Amino acid sequence: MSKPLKYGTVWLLLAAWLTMNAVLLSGCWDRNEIEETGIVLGIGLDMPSDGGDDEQRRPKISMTHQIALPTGFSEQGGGKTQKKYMNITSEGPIIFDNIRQLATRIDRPPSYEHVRVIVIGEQVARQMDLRNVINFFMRNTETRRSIRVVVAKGRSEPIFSQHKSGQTPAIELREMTENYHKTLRTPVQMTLGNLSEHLTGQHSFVLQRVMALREESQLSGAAVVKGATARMVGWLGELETAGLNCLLGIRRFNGVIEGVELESGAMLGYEVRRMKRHIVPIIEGDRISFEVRIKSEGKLREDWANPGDSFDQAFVERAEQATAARIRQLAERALEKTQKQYKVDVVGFGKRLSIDHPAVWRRVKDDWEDRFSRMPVKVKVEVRIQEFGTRGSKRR
Amino acid sequence: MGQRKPSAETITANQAAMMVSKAMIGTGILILPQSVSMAVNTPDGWLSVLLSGFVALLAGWIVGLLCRRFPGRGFYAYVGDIIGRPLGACVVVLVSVYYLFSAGYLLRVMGEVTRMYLLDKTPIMVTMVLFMLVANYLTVGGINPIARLIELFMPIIVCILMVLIVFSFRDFELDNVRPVLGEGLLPVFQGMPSSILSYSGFEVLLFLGGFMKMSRKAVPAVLAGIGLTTVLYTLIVLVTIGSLTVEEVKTVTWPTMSVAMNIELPDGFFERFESLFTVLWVLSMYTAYVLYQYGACLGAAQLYGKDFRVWAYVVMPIIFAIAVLPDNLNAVFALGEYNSYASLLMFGLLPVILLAVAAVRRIGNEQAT
Repeated sequence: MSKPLKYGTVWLLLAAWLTMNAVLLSGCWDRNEIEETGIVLGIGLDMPSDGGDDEQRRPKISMTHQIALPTGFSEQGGGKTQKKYMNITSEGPIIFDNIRQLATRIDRPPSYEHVRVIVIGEQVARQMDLRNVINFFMRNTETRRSIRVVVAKGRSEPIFSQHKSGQTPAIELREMTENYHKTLRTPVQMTLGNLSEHLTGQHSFVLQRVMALREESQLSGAAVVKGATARMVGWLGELETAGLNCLLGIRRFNGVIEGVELESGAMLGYEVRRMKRHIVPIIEGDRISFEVRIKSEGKLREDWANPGDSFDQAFVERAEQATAARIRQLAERALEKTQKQYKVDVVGFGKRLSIDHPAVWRRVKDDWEDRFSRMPVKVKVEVRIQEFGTRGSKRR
Repeated sequence: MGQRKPSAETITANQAAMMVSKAMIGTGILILPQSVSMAVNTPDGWLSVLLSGFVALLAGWIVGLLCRRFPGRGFYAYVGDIIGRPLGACVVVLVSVYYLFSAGYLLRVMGEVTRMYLLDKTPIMVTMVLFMLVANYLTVGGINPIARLIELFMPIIVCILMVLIVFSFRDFELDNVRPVLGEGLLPVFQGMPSSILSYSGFEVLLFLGGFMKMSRKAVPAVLAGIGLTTVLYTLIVLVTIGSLTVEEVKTVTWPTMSVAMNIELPDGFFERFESLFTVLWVLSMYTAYVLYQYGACLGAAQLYGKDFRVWAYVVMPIIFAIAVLPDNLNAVFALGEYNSYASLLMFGLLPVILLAVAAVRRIGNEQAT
């Protein structure tokens, strides 16, 4: 700091100072007042109801926005409960067009940073290339990759007006998608990011299915999407989904398997604690077949046998066998539907083959799903009941 | 010139290592997973990055040797001694121009990322100009403030990257990075050119070497800096492929940002990690940018003899012009690619040639080499 500032420096500093003034005093470009934004919580995608196929224009898509209505603090403790959301349905040739239309209908510019769930209507899933449908959301920086995606049986619009508790349906639905580990009857939640990964990788996969009941919506079963066409090919029922979950061997499930004990024909309730599956590709010359080994550990939660003495190891073993048989039956049903009927590989047999036998995989990877649909798959199940709760028997 | 007060203007080996690492981790990390996956086409991209790291270590070692040979003198000063004044001047011009382009490219990427993820409506020029002004403030301070700031920021930057990596492991699927070497080693080698490019930056040691207190520590410093970068790069690519799959990585613009956007802690406790990441990432870009600008100024000061501080102001509009030159995002990426190729040519070959010539002509500190 021995040297005095030069004139050039002074001029530059002055210029910089003036620029800063111009920039800083004019205010912030990206200011967003929270009271003035419409926070979008859920998005539904449908085919337009009036059936736009007669026109020679591009396929139209209809979009339902669920937007949060922040209630004023002064209204607290008032008599009747106010609705916390509003639904707006629009139609347009592409998604972005739908979104811009919103500006003509509500005063708040929509913000997509808090979207909880995207519900794809059945017709959209079946008829449109899902890669195109989600493209806008993947490009947009506001929509997070962790948004949950579900497929609605029928139209998606009614899902957004079902609520039991006065909660906003989109939020309720989001919470429900996270409950997958309590039951085997719905597949693992699908995030927008994962959906996109499956679609770009052209892997087939399943999504959670949501159904509008009379006053509530329910998650049950799964929608099967074929990766190659990026379109939905069909549904899986609850039991088929349970079978598929066993085949996928997802560790975090705590679902229940109802076995039937062979000796007495009594019902058993087995709670899965751990489920592991191992796929073994078997190559014999040109013939490829698979063996799936499912191993499960868990707890006997309920039995309807009499006396059902769990202190007797023979009974426990019978229960294990009964449960194993049930799991095998479920798994085979799931395979029957996905592999034989829909001709898709949602379990990841192809992936396993590519890991274990890359050379074989290179030979068969084109038209893999078609080939796979003719390959034999054997299911082996091993169940171990570790404990049976605080009561082992009804009478000794 | 920079070396007016040699006693005050020194940096430690630690600082040198951090600066080397920081100059490398600028923009490359934001697009590296994508460019590597495009070239490799199998989930083995991270192996290419790891192998390229070793190549970079080799190149860094040579740069380190060169520094050790000329203790207390910057690259710009001794290059003329080695290959003669006129040729040396050409090299200095080339290197300075390269740093100008690097700084311009970095400035533009910073602007683009900020526009995309943080300030949508703010004109990109404004973010860029503000960024430049703040960076210039540090550059004119000279090597010591730069070294200290980098010493301060480097742990933060490593931390934020580690947080990104650790949180991403929630979404990491082992099957996504398998099969390992499913198609043999060939794809790994195909990915090496593009991943080597992302290692450019270690050459800042060329001019940092002159400031080092103990130039015999130049080699360990550059190796430590490159080693740290290699580990971070490999982990980032591994985690990106493991959580997004190769196919998806190929389709996204800023893969590392997409990974950051994937992160969500349970119960919405912490959403929008990418905002935090972008903000901290601007810090990271800032420190790298300052190094590039400083490199360009030192070169110009060596050639024309004025104080580098004057040059810092002179190069600002040039850097800005380079930054606004590409008229769309693809042109920005193309500029980055040309830049990396230039760096590969210059800093892959040049130090080897210089070292060889110096050895033949017996210039510099023989014992040190």
